[in-house]
Amino acid sequence: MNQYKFKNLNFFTIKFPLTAIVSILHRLSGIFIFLIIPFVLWILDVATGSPEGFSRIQSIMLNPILSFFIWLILISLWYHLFAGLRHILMDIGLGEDLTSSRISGMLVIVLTIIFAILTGIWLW
Amino acid sequence: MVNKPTSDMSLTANGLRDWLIQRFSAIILAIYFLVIVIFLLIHSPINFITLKNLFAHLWMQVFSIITLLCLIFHAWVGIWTVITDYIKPVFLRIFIQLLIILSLFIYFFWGIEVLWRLI
Amino acid sequence: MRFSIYRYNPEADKKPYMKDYEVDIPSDSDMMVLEALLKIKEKDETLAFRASCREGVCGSDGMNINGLNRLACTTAISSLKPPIVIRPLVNMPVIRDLVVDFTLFFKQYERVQPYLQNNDETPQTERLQSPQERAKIDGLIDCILCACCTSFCPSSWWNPEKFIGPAGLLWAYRFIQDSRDTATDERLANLEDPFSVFRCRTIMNCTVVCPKNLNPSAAIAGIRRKMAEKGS
Repeated sequence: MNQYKFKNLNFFTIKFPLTAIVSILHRLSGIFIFLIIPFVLWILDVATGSPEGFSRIQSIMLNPILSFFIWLILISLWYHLFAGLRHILMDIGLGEDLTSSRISGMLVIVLTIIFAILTGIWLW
Repeated sequence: MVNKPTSDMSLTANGLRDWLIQRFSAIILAIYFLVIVIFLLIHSPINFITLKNLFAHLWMQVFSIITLLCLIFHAWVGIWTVITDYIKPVFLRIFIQLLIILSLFIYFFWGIEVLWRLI
Repeated sequence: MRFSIYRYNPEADKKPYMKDYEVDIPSDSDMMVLEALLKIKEKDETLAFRASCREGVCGSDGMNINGLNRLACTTAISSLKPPIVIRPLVNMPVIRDLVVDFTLFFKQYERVQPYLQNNDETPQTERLQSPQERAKIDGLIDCILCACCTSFCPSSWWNPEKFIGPAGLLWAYRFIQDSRDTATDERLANLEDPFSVFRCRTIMNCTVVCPKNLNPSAAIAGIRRKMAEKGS
């Protein structure tokens, strides 16, 4: 098997279709959400623990960097939700052809942008 | 012939079951996320008492614990896939997998502790 | 027009490199990439590539052209933005220049037992299919095994031994869907592990590049649905 030394696998020479980009973002958002689970649990823990804790969490939202981080988490959640919903619909046989999957992939990105803006308005 | 694949510590060692669990838990997680978002929108700006009262309801306790379980399983199936895609040295892979299983257990009990305090 | 081509001769080169060639192509030409390769070979006969039928049937000249896997013989030069960059099929062992090793690809194909299985008593006449039954294998029987799809699939890049890949799975579904094949349950049971089918993330790269416009991604989804129906 190893008699040939080289393979052509150079990401900069490969054109990734929209559907592939939608998928890798689904993966990246999933990894990000996994990594921030303890942060979210901590927020829940502190915010429901005592009124003082609650106001501590509220002050996080006033900090520009931390509130930006919260915004990123919410964007990831929206994206992961929409992309996941798209996958479930395709799993049950809806929109499996190339054209539909391109449209639905585009829709996932557009919806995420809209919800990112709405969430931003809500946060600030 | 190519060797028959091993399960490499997948959740149920069966592709179909892992796949179904991933989809089912996804739906629960999606509903929970939307319920929380809608709750926060209705009660905006949220205060301490309203938030605490939400989790005091029995249905919310049950719903939250189910969701927590779904989160653990969903995360494991997903992260397991990512790890078995990119991390090839066997010992490193198993080490990272064990680390993640351990943290998921901690998250689960931490979540339970937070929830039960609020009944 | 400039062509930039991946070159590697294991007997002379330490590692692969890109070599540029100029080919005169009239602006209104309907030439295919394969014809340009043949013109280049006239000038530089050391260039190695596979080709046979030159009409998209044999599946020999799959290669990565401007970032996408396609058949050189059915890809019109006029449809491409110059310079035209030609590299071997992605993630397949390079034997020489654009010629790659198909050993693993065919092993994965063999794994799905790509032949009709039927243990019923052999009838005196043909095993008949109704038009409806025949329609179920439309788009599944046209695969030419060019490997454009499997070589473009990241799931196959990361787990080439464990994940069968889109081409093999399209073939698997072709026999699962065939009313004359009686081994459906065994076929499905053989694919239930976490890798063979389920490593597919439905990113559709296979469907994007298939030169026969088939949809392996939908075939894989079909296999998963068959399994779910059977299991429940």
